[in-house]
Amino acid sequence: MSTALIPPTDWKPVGIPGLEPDALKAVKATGNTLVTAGPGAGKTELLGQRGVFLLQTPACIYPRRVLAISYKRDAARNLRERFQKRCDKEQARRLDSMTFDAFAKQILDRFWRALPDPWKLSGPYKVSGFVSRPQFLDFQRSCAANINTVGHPINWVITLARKGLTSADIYAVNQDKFNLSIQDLELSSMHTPSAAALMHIAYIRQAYTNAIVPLTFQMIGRLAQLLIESNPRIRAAIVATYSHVFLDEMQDTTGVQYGLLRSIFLGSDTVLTAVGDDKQRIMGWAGAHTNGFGAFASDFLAAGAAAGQEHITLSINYRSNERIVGILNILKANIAPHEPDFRAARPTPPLPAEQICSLIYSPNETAEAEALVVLINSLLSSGTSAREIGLLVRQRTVDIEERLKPFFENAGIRLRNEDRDVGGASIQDLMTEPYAQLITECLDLLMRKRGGGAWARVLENMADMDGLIDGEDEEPVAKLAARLDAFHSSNFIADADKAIAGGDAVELIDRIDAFFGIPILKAMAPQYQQGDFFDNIRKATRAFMAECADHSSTWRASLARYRGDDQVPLLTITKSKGLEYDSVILLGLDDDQWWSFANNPQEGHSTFFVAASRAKERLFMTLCADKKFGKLKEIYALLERAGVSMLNSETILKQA
Amino acid sequence: MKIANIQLWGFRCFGAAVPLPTDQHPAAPIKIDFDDGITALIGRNGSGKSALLTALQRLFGETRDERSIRQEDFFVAPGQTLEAQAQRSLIIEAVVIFPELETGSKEAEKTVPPGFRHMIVDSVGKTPFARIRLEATWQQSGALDGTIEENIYWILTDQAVPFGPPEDLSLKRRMSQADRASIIVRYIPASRDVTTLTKLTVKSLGRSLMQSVVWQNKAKISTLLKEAGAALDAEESLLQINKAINTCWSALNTADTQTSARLSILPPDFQQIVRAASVNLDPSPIGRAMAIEDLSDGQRSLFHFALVKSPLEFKLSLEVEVSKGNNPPFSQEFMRAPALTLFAFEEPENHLAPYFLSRLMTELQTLTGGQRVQGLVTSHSPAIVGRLAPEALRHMRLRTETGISYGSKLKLPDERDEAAKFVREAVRAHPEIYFARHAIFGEGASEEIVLPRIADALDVPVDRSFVAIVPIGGRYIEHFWRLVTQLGIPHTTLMDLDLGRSSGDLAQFKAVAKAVSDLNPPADPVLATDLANAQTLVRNAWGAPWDTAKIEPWVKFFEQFGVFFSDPLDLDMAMLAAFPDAYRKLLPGASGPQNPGDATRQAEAAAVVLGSSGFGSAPYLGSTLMPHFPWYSYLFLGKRGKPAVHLAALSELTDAQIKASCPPVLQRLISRVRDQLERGGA
Repeated sequence: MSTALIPPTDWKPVGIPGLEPDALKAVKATGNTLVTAGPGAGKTELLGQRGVFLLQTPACIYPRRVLAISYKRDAARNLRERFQKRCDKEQARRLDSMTFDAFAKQILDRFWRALPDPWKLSGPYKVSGFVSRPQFLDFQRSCAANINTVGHPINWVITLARKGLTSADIYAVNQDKFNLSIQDLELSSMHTPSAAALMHIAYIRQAYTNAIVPLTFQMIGRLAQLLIESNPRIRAAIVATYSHVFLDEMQDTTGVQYGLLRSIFLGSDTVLTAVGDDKQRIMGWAGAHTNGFGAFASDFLAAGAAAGQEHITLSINYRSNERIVGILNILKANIAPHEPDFRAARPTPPLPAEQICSLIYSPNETAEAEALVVLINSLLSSGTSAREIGLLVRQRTVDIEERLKPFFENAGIRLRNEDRDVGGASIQDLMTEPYAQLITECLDLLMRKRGGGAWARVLENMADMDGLIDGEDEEPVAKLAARLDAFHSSNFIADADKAIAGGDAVELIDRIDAFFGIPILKAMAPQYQQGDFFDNIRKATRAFMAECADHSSTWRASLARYRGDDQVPLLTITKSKGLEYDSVILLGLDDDQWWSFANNPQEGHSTFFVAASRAKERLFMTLCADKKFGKLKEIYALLERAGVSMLNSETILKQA
Repeated sequence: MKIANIQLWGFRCFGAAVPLPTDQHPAAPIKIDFDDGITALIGRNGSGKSALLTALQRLFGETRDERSIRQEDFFVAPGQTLEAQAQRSLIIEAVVIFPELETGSKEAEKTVPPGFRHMIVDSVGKTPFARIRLEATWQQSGALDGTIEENIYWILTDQAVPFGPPEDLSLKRRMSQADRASIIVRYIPASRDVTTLTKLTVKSLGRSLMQSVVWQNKAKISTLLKEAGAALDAEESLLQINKAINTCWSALNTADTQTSARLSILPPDFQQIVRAASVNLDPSPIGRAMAIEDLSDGQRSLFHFALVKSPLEFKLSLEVEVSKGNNPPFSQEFMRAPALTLFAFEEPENHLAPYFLSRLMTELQTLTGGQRVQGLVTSHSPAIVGRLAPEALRHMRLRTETGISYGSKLKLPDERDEAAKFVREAVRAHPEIYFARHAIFGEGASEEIVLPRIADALDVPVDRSFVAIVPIGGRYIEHFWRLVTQLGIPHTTLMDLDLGRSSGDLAQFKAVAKAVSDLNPPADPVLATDLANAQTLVRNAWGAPWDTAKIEPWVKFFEQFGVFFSDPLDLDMAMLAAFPDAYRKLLPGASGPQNPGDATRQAEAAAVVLGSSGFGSAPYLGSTLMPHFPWYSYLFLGKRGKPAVHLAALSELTDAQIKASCPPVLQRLISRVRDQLERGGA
C-alpha cells in the first residue's frame, strides 16, 4: 500500500460530502482547540475526521500517535470504529482510542515501580470498587477515634499535611463529600483543602497496608499523575508518543482525569482537541469538574488564536429536524444565552405540529399507558423501528417497566428496560461490555455456516487478545483462524431454528469461555481487573442469555431477544447520553420523577436538555392530571415559550 | 534508542546449563551488554562472535529468512545429538533503552512511539525501557527435521516470566510484525558473500523504488518506451529473426494459434524497467561503466556498506524534510527509517587495507553518535578495535567442556581508580594486545626495540602480530595482567630492578609481590609466605651497607611468576654492559663523554643516574658497572633518545655476537616466551 502525504490545504474530509466551516477549522487546527459541540453536531464525526486529517497530512508524523480519550467505553469504541471506516489499517493503528480509566491504568501498570515514597508499591495492585457505606462509616469512626494515634493513617496524614483536625471535622464529612474529595486532592504536594480530602488520603494510606493494595480507578488516576510529576522521563515518553490528543465529553471530565492530563500535556508540544457540550453537564454526582471548559481554556488556550489556540462553537444540528431544533434553541437560551443558536440541517417533516412535539396529558396513569400503546403502534406502523423509539425517564425504570408492561404485552409491543439489573449489570451496560459483545459475536458465528462479519470480528478479537494485528501478522493469525475454524465446526448449530432452553445457552457459553480461556478474557478490558466485576459480567451475560432462551422458541429468536431486536428501549436520561432515537417519549414530566430539580436547577435544566435533544423527528412528554409539577414550572414556562402543544390522551385513544 | 543487552538461553553455543525455563529463568542466561555506539566482539574463532550476530538477525533481521529459527539454532551439548531430547527450546531476549528521554532529544519522537505502550520502569526515577523476547521450541515430529515453533513477545515486567504462551497478558504480550520492524539489524557478512548480497540489495532497492516513488514523468517515459519499442521492432534484422522464431513455434504449437512469439529487447513496461535497476560505477571519462563484479574484494565490501548505509541516511534526511512540512516525492512508507538500525559487521578487516578500515569505522562512529543507529563488529584486527574504547569491547570465549560460550566486558580498573586512564591509553595505543598469543609487558621504548632483536638472534621469532610488547613503565601491572588473563593470553613481564633508585629494588619487590598475591595467589603455602614477606621489606631495616646476597634471591624468586628484572639497574645498563663496544661506538663528529675513565667522574655520573632517595650509588661502589655510568648518562640521558641509541648499537651486532653476550635475564625471558608459545600452539 503506497500513499503520499497530502498537503493540509488540499485535504478533504473523507466519506462525507463536507463539514461546516467551523468544524473544518477544528479538524485542521494546528493548536489546542476547545470545541463546543451541541447535540447532534457530529462530535464523533469531527474527531474521526480530525484523526484522518492528522494521519494523512504531515501533522501527526509517523511513528507518532493520536490518543483519543473518552469518558465512556462505548464512546471509545464508536470513535475507533468510525476511524477504521475512514482510513486505512496502518493509519488506524496509530490511533489509540480508550477510556480514561484504561489510560490511567496502563500507566500505573507499567510504571508503578517508579512510584516515589510514601506511595511506593511493593508489588502489583488490584482494582477495587467504590467505598461502600459500611466501609466508609467504619473508617470514619476509626479516624475520629485515632486522630492522635501515631501510626494510624489519619494521624499520619495530619502530621504530613500539618493540618489540625478534630473528630467533629471528621464526623462532618458525609460519604458523598468523601467520595468527591479525591477530585480535588493531589498526592504530590499533599495539597488538601478539606477534611474530606485528608480522610481520603488516609484511606489510600490504609489501603497500602494490604499485601495487595486495593485501588479505585480514581486512586489509580491520582497515582498515575504522581508518577508523571515525579518522573519526567515517563512524561517525556508519553509526549514523544502522542503528538495529538482528543478529549471527548470534556464537560464530564472529572478532577482526577483533568489533573492527570494537565500534568502530562501542559507545556508540551502535544496538540489537544477537547470536545464537549457544557450544556449537557449532568455528571456532577460522579465528580465531573464544575468548570472543566473554563479550566481547559485557561490552561490550554492561554496563548490565544495567534498561536492557533481557539474555542470553536459548532452550530449545525444534524440530528433533529427544524422544529425540534427550535425547541432546543429555547432551552439553550436559558442555559447558555451567549452561545449562537443551533441551525437545523433538516427541515420539519410535513406533519401536524402536535405529531412532532407535544405534551401528552392524561387523566391518570392507566389512560397514559393506553395512549402510549396507541402512539407507539402508530409509530411502528408508520415504519419506525422499535429500537428507534426511546422511552426516557428521570429515574426508577423498574417501577415504570412494571406499570407499562401489562399494557404493552397485551398490544404485542416488546418493552426492554435497559436499566434492569440482570444479575450483576444492567442490560444496557452489559451490551457495551467487550466480554458480552464477544459472546454475542460467537453465538452469532456458531449459528451460521459461513461466518462472514461475525467471523472477522471474532478473529480480530482473538488477534487483539494475542497482541497481533489481523492483516499484518499473517502466519500467527492464520494459526488462530485454524483454531477458530476447528471450534466453529465442532460447535456449529446447524439449525438455528431449533428449540432452545436456558441451559443450552449457558452450556454453549461455557464452551466459548473454555475456548478462549478465562485469564485471557479477563485481560480484555481494564475494568475486568476490578474486584469481582468480571465475574459479575460473566454471570449477567449467562443469566440474561438463559432468560432470553427461556422466553424464546428458537436459538435464532433468543439471540435476537438478547440483542434487543424489535424491542422498545426504556432507559434513564443519564444513560441516554450520546444516543439518539427517531422518536423520544419522555415519561413523567412531574415532581415525582424530578423531585431533585430544585436542589440543582442548572443540572436539572441540562438533564431536560439532554433528553429533548435525543430526538431526531418527534419528541413527546407525558404528564398525568393526578401528578404535581410545580417544581418544574421553569421547564413548563420554556415549553410554553417554545409553543409545544398539548395532546390529550383522549384524543390519541380516539384515533385508535 | 539503543539495545542495552542481549540475553540468550539455549541459542547455538549460548547453551543453558539447565533445561529451559519452565517457571523461572534457569541458572543464568548468557548476557552480553552493548555499548551505545559500536560494540566490538573479540575472541578466538568459534568463540560465539558470529552466533551472537545471528541471534540479532533472528530477532530483528530484515528478511524472513534471517528471522527464521532453524534446527541448528538450538544448543546441543558436546557429544549429544539434537534428537537426544524430544524437545528443545531457546530464548533470545533484548533490552531496549531510550537515553533520548533523559536528554529531551526530539529523536524520542521517532524512537519512543512504536514501543511506548510496552515500556516499563524498574525503580524510582529511572528511564522507561522495553524487553523483547523471541522464544522457540523444536520438537521431534513426523517431519524429517522436526517442527519449530517461534513467537516474539514484549515482556512487561522486570521480573522473571515463564517460557511459553502468556497466561497473564499484563506480563507478556505478543509483539506485532509492525512493532518488530521498528528495529532492523543490517548484517554485513565477511566479504565472501558480498557480491551476491550486494546484488540482492540493489534488486530490493529497485523494487522499493517502484513502490515508493511518486513518479512525475511516468506518462512521458511510457510513451518514449512505446516509441523505442516500436522502432526496435521495425528493425529489419529483428523482423527476420521474429519471423523465423514464429515459423518454428507455430509448427510445434498447432493447437493454439493465438500466441505469437517475439524477441523483445526492451522491457515491455515501465514497471519492469525500474525493477531491472542496477548500479554501475563510472570510473573515468574514457572507460565504460564498471559493474560491481569488477571491483576488488575490498572495494566491493566498502561499496556494500555504502549501499546499505545510504538508504538509511537518505530516509533519515527525508524524515527531516517531512517534519519541516515539505512533501518529497515518495510514499509515506518509504520516508520512514526504522527507530533503530543496528549495523552488524562481520570481520570488516577482511580484504580491507587499514586505511579503508579506519574510514569505515569513522563513518560508523559518526552514524552511531545519534540515537537511531548502533554498531556491532566482530574483529581480529587491531586497526578496528584500536579505534574503540576498551569499554566497548566484549571478549567471547567458549568453554570446551560444556560447549557453552560466554561474553564479557574487559576487566579494566574502576573509572574512579587513577590507574583507569593509564591502562585505557596503554591498551588503545597497543590494540594488538587483544589478539596476541603472548604479551610481554616492558618498561618502555627500549624493550620494544631490544627484545624482538634479541629473540630473533636466539632463534625465537617474536612477531609483533602475535607477541605484543606493551610498554607500561612498570606501573599498574596487576591491571594489565588481569586484562590478558581474562583474554586467555599468557604473559611475561620485564621490569627494571632500578637498584639504588628510590622506586627500585625493594619497592619493586613489594609492588610485584602484591600484584601476584592479589591476582593469582599461589596454592603453595611456602610461596604464599614468601610473597607476604616480600611485601614487608623495608629499606631502613635492611640497612646499609648494601647486601647483594639479599637482593639476588628475590630477583630469581619472581621469575617463576613470569616477572623478570633487568638486573641490577635497567635494560639500558644491561645492554650497555653486555655490548660495550657496540654501544660506545660514536656517531661521526661526536666526541663521547668527558673523561669516562675518571673515578670521580664515574661517581658523579652514578649519583646523577641513581639519585639519593633510595640506596643511591652505594650498591655500585667498586663494582664492574661503575665505568659504564658516564656512558650511560651520555647515551641514555642525552638528546639522542633511547630508541635511536639501541637501534644504532643493535645494527652493529651479529646474531652470533648477541647470542654469545646477551644478558642472561633476557635469555631466560625469551626462553620462557618460547616455551609458552609452543605450549599454546599445540
